[in-house]
Amino acid sequence: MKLTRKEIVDQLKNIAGKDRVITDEQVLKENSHDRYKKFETIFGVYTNPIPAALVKPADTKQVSSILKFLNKNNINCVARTGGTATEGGLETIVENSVVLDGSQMNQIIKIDETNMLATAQCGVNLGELEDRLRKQGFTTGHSPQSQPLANMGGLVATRSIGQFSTLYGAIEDMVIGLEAVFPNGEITRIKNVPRRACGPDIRHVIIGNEGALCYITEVTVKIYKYFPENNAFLAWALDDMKTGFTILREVMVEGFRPSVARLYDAEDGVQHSFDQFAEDKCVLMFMAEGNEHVARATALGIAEVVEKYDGCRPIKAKIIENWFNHLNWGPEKITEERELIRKNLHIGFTTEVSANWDCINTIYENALKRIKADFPHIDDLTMLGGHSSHSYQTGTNLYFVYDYDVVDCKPEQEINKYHIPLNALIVEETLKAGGSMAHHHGIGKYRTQWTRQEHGSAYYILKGLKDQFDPNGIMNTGTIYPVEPE
Amino acid sequence: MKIAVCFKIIADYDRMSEKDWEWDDRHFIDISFVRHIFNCFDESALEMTLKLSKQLENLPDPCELTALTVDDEQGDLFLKHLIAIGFDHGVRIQCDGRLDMRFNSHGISNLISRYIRQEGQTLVILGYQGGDGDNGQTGFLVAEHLGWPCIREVIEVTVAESSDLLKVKSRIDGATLVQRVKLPMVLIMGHSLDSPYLRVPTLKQKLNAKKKPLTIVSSTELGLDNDALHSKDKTLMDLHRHNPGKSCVFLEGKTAQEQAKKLYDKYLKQRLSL
Amino acid sequence: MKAALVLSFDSNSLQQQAHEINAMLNHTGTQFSNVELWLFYKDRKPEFSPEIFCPLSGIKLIQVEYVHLPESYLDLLVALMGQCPMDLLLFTSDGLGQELATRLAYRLNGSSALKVEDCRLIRDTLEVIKPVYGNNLSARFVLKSSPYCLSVAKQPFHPVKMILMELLKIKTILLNQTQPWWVKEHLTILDPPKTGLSNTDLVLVVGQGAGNKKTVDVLKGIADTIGAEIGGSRPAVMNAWIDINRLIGASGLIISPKLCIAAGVSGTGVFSVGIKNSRFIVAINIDSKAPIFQIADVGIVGDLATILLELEKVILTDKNKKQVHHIVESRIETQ
Repeated sequence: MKLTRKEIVDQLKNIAGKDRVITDEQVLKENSHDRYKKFETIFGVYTNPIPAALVKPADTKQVSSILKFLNKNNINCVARTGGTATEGGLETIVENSVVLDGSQMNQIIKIDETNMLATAQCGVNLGELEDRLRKQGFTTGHSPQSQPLANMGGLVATRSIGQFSTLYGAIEDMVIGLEAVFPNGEITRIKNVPRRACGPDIRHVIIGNEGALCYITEVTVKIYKYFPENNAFLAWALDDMKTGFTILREVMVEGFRPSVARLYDAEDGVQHSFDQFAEDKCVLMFMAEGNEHVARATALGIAEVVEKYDGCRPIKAKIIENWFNHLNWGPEKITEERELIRKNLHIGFTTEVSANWDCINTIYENALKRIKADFPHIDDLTMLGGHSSHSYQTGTNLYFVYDYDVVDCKPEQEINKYHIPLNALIVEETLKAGGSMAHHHGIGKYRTQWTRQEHGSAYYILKGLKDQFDPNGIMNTGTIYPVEPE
Repeated sequence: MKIAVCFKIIADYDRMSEKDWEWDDRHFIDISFVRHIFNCFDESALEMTLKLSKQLENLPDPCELTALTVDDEQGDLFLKHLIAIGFDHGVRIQCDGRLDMRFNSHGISNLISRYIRQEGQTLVILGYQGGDGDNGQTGFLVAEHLGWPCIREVIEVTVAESSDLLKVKSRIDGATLVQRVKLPMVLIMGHSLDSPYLRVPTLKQKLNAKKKPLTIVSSTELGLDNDALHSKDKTLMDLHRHNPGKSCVFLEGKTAQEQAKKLYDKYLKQRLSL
Repeated sequence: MKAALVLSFDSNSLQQQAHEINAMLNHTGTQFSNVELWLFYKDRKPEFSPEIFCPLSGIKLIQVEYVHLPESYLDLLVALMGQCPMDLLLFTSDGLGQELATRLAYRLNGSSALKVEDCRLIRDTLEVIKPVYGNNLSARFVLKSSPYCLSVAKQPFHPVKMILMELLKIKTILLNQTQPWWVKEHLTILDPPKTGLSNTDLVLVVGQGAGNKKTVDVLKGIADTIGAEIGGSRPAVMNAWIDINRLIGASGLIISPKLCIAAGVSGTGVFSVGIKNSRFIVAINIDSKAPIFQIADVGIVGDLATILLELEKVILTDKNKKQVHHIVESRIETQ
């Protein structure tokens, strides 16, 4: 027998205490979605089922008790902390879901300067942790644009990446140990050691699970010494993305590790005002940082690589530095965006993919071509472009960016008319050429139709994890794994 | 009806940090590395004019919109943007780079009014203030040069029954003034709640705008040489950056509750006679 | 040097405007041989004038017919300057003062400057100080030709008293005025009564960081319970969260409460000028690097709604305690 909404709420109150269970309708509505549906929700339209309750557990034990209860009663659980997800992962698509919001588990547990470790509960804001560390001369090295708002739990759950990833790596390179709770209430702790050969690296079951396998309650990341005084910015304007990718590759293959390595096309550059400094040009930029010897050598080496290529015109470093210092998304920028959307019915989204060096430019060109050819409302687009912002020895990512006027459609129709089809065209072209459909936002709920194709025969392993750890399928239904027809 | 909107591009001062506020011997501040944006009052003026021209569409006298700026090449990008969203002409008046026009509203308004007279516009719209000089005088002086009436702190403009009659709402001391006025006229935009942000052009509009040439007019073509433009009004002696001289005490605390309590007990209680 | 102070008797802010002009007279190191008050009025001839903090050599009462038209004032001023020339004219800080200063100087081949914070006579020229670069800097200028027409800077609210004018000094000016050709009709819609914002001890100023109208409405509730007036930065006003007559900053109100709480305001130059005269500033912002902290006495980095809701609780608890205390005390008295 399914529990009624009231029964669910009552039982949750018994477990967590009544102050920790929120049923205010507006709060629940706000917790029924994420930034994927930002358009309709700005206009006050909420099309997902409204969750039964939002629960803010006090500690890991409560998380365990709550999950055990939800699991026993087959109630869908959506894990949430900072709420900055962009791919629908936080949408409550099942009736009477319970949103488990870890934002009140917000203690920085330990900063261990000897072993270079920082341990934080899932609800610790990354910006706050970073501020604390910087005061002591350290950094996490993790700096996604959502830093002012995102919390540690969500950052690990979505396999997030930051703007300095080329040097510090993405979240999976930073996480040393974890505590997570599985739907049956099992609390698991993975200890903090530098490396081991004791079976498969089980951290990767948890990192990036998007709340579909377990609930992350505590995270330990490594920390780095922080030398902002050595930061060096370098940038060039160039004619085409293809050359840009070639240079990026050479920088990486030569072994340089800038913290930032970015390549913008001219269209995408406009929204960053790069056209004011390099009109109709692509912009390639780097930041070298770290210990002064390393930073200097990195900057010199990169300049040497780039200057071999014809047609690269240097851009003043100060321009890039100033731009970069204002790139993060705090609440003020989000509000500004909301107001612009509301007043001008104009909105923008992104789709981030990745691929090896040999096909990245093909994906870039084909996806844009495909959109221009096949997207029926191309006339409503105000911007279509992309950039690469995370490079590796073997390849790079591509961030497609598209803005449009929402014309002749109800708020709730926006995603069907624009966002979903545009996203689909990009994913299709990426998979066709051999890339990966999601580089760092996670699969969420709008790319699950391609999860099998993404993983191919290895889907067997991915599927096995769900069967093993969430046999009742209560963990964030419809995320990562497609909803199977009954 | 021929309408000219005069605008100014400014550095986004909010992106300048303390160390960026330094100047050279001529009191110039390096703002070249900061992105530039429309002065916010001019942005309102531009968007409001586009809305006004929409209303004029159905009248027999078609509307011809000119966007006008006194600037160097950096203004071109913004003019192209304006053409893409619906302005018919993008005009840039270029002065000799050696002239310091920052505090020279007289020179700027002289240039603008000469161009307006030459082109036969009957309505000039400008933002209320802005730019490095923060002069707040250009609109008034354009009205003086042209010998036209002027309405300041405009918040809304709509078409009255014929195209040479406008209904203009503006702010005066403690009241809103609604007037039905005849052209020619200078309007100076204040805070417009209706059109604070400029619209964004579509890809297609941007592409089309690229084909349209901009009009670049030099100050000498308007009959003003450097001598005539030289400020007879005021001379800049020096600049000064205020140091607030405060050092903020940050209240730490494990919870918001703790922070609020600290704030109240330590600082607010004594100051509030609650 | 001869100076005239130009005010409008019918202005809603007459006493505050007089205070701002007094402030300028106070600052300026210049000695005036002769200071006149030029007071415009429409219907009823004034008997009182705001108190001016320097000896007046004369008062001119000038009747103006078309009060809504700056052009009417200008014609009158040009005529008057012909009859009794002045070296310096001080105008009010509002839009009318700015317009008159600029246009009159143009018509009389003088020099003008707006938002003037300070002025002094150095030999034959006048030096002024005014803000530039979006209130991020101030500049010192030499004005080149007289008459110097200055619109003074806004000041925190401190209206001067009205005093009876000395009859002997008064001269009434009646000049012919022509009807404007361009105004077909006009209508004046008076604002609702002024907010108490300029003249209160506690102000809560809300900025873009509040995030949405709903949160702002909650903040308005908090302001109510803690007895604060609410104000907004330009973005908060442009988002229609806060009424435009509560706009704080260079293009709005300059406030100076005992205590100002700035929540979710980043602290741009044009905003900060509006609150920097407050006796004590508390800033709440999620970004620890926000410039608002540079002018704040105390700062909290965090979510503004959470913190303010907690603050409301603390204040209410304390208030209730006090009330209980009062009751206990009064009981003792009656016993």
